[in-house]
Amino acid sequence: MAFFGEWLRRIGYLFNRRRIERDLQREMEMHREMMGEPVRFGNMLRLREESRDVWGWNWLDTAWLDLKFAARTLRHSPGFTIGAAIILALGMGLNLTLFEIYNNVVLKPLPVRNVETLVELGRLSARTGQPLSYPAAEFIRSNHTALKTILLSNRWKTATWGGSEDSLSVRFVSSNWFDELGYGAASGRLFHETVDDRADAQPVVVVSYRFWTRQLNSDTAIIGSTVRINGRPATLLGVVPEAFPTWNGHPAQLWMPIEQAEYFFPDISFKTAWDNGDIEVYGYLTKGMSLAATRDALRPLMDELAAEQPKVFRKGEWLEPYPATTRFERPWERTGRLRNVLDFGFLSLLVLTVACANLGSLVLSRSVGRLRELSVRIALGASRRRVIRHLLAESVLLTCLGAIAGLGISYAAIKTITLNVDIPLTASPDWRTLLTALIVGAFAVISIGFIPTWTVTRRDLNRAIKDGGEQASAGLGQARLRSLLSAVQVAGSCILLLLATLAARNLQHNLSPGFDFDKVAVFQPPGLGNPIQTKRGQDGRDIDFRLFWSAMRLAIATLPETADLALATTTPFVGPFQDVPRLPDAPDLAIAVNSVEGPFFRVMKIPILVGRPFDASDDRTTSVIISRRLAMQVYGTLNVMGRTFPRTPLEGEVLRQRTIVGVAEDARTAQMDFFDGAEFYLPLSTGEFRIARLLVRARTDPRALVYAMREASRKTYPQVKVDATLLSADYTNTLHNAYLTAGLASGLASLTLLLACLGIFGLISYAASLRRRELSIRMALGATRRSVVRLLITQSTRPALWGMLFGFGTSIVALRITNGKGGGLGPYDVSTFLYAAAVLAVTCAASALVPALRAIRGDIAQNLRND
Amino acid sequence: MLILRMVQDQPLHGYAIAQRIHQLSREQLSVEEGSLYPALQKLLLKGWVKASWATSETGREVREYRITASGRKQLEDELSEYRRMAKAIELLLSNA
Repeated sequence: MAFFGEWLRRIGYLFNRRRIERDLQREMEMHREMMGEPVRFGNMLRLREESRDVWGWNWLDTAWLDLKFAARTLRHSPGFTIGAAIILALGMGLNLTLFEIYNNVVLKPLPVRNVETLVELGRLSARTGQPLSYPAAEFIRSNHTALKTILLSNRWKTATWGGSEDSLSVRFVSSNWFDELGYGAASGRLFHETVDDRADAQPVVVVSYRFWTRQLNSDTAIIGSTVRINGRPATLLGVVPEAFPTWNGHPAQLWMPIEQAEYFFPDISFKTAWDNGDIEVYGYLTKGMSLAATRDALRPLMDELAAEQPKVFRKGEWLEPYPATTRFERPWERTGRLRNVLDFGFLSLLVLTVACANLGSLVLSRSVGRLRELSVRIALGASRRRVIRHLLAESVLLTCLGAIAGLGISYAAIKTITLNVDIPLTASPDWRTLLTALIVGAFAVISIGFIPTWTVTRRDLNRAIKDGGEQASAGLGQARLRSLLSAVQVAGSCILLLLATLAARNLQHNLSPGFDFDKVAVFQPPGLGNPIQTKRGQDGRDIDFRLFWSAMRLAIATLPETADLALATTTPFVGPFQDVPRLPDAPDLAIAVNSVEGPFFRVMKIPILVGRPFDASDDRTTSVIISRRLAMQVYGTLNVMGRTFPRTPLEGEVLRQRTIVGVAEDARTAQMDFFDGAEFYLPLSTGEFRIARLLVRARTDPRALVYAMREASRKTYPQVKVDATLLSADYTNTLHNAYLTAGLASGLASLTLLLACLGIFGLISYAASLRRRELSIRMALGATRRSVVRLLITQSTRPALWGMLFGFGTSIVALRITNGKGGGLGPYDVSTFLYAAAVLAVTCAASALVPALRAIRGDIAQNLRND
Repeated sequence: MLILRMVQDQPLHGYAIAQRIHQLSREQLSVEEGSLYPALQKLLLKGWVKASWATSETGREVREYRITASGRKQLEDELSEYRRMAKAIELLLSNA
């Protein structure tokens, strides 16, 4: 309590110190006047200082003085100050931007009403997680007692708008969706329960704010009018507010009531198909109910479903509530996210480290050049601590400049991203961002200020005054030490640069599916859910899929744009994802199976590493092709031709033992976010034609192919409505957020290179400029300009080259070791090394050349006199 | 302790405190008078005295220091501690 009171008085003093100090001075003067011998009072200035000391705020005045002095010093070297602030701003701005994105996407709570009680119910069984169909979701909605409210939505689906051929992403939602989540319309109205879910309700649609402002030019007159979705009329009710969050990573442009899904997609049996669907079920927890209690309360419901629909639901399945506070994240999704966060965090911290290391070396060189000034200050009575404080104050000021500019860069970057990508990110920094800026800033101050200051002040500054700094700076700046500094700097930059490049490539690899999808179009009968349920054509008769596909294959193969085509049961990015139980031989791998035709590998450009693709002799019951990862995990070699897979016999048709006819390169053809996944391929049987899709590779333009395929199908098989899309569009839709971050990642390595170059340039050119006097003497003694330039360049670049050799050598060894252990970094490649080496070598030469040219220019005698 | 003892009975200003110490010690204790002020600031910080402006008997405006409740307690503690120590030293010297 006494301690608390003392601090309160201290703070009170801080706010009233001017008045209190005035009072004290008056009081002391009065005391002196009353004394017979005022001289016995003592030195009033000193006594006032001692009195002030008691309150413990003197450091504040000193710090303020230091900062003022540092500001003056920095103002006198504008080039250094601006350069340093830019380097720091880039390093810090990048870190802050990445953090801000992470903050928006993961950390900030989802901006919906009562977010702490909102959950998503995921259907789980001991084996796997599966989506729910609409009838099952409706059953849960009607019969549950555990939750307050239930909201339904499908995952994204695409539809056409008006007469356009372009696909828009669509969400079907229950009519209580917006009301429950706490959103009203930005214009017009949104859906309401008991209004838009009635059986006789008019078909309606609402659009996203972005779509309304960009595509509809914020036209208020269009609200209430009739628009066409998938060619069917519907009333445009209103506009969803801009702040409405992106749901599960898929930004929607249109929303429709889920009850009207069949109206917009007439070919699907959405409401009655129990066995397929992609419905997301959300709910608000009842007050006082924990997640575990909710899970238990929902169990009887799933048991009822298992009893009622034994073909679809197995006994023992349950609904797992995933809270909105963790963005409905599944435990297995966390691995992928953490992996990306680690990669990005590591990369951006590397950039900052490069920036700070470079700046630190620059500050050190500058401090060495200022030894004389520092020694004069010590001779005049400044304590060593004071000199350290002053040098640190400069770093603090630089960091503050960098942090402010960094926050500005981050703000601008987020604004630019928001303009280009349909994700509502908040650019204004919150406390988390400011805290991060503080931590990043502290890191910068320590690396650019503390280490150089400590190094300089350990020198004998008293001796420096005696020889005008010459001797001491020779001690520090003598050729060998200066060379060592350059070499260490270049070596460090090389290591960091390579790590950055490789980490960026690793990140891109995570986002790259392992096959070439740019020119591939997918041709499939439509279906809201997967697998396809269309069994009857528009003429009401059953479709013979064997006939259908042979006709379509013929029609599409003859198109001039078609290069190659193959049927497969799984469409990359979209699915359906057919998984199999984990193998006892490879328990860490999530395994997906895809039934494909022989040319599939050619269409997708997946190399067959060993063996051959499927041909006519292969049969579903006997042949299998496995991926590289699977081969390595199960057999430890790629040489597995003729062996049986799975190695250990297992139950079930899919996992019966077959002979391996080939090993394909790893390709995430099933699911992109399966980092620990592998796949195997079976020959497509005619029985699977019903659920197959046709993948077609275009010669030049897959867009032209999409149009031509639709036309061909209309002519050849008019009774089946088909859907033709680009695989690249599906990729963008699936990996919307990841795609954006991949772009950022590729920029990171370039930024690191830029920063490394800036730092090396600063260090070498500063070190070279310190030798101007020596060069002038050499020239006065008869050295030619050419020889002086050559000397400077050779002497400056030699240590840099040694540094480079050491840096690259260390990186190669380190990478070999990590690769051997299956570490995170991908295999190094020669081109990256050569490219980085070339850029660094040119930078080193240029950094020495500029001051060398400056030194030899002009009058030698004048130069000597000036120095 | 000395300053607290001086202001224990009545509020005093700085000069008066110095004078009283001087007189009561029969001019044995005579220190640099200004050094009283850092000590007074310390007492203010600890909350053992409070200061306020007042007019002295001679009509001067002076800053008087008044002991607080926690100051009294501190004084008592310090006095008893001092007496205990003095007694111990006395015992030690007389019996040695």
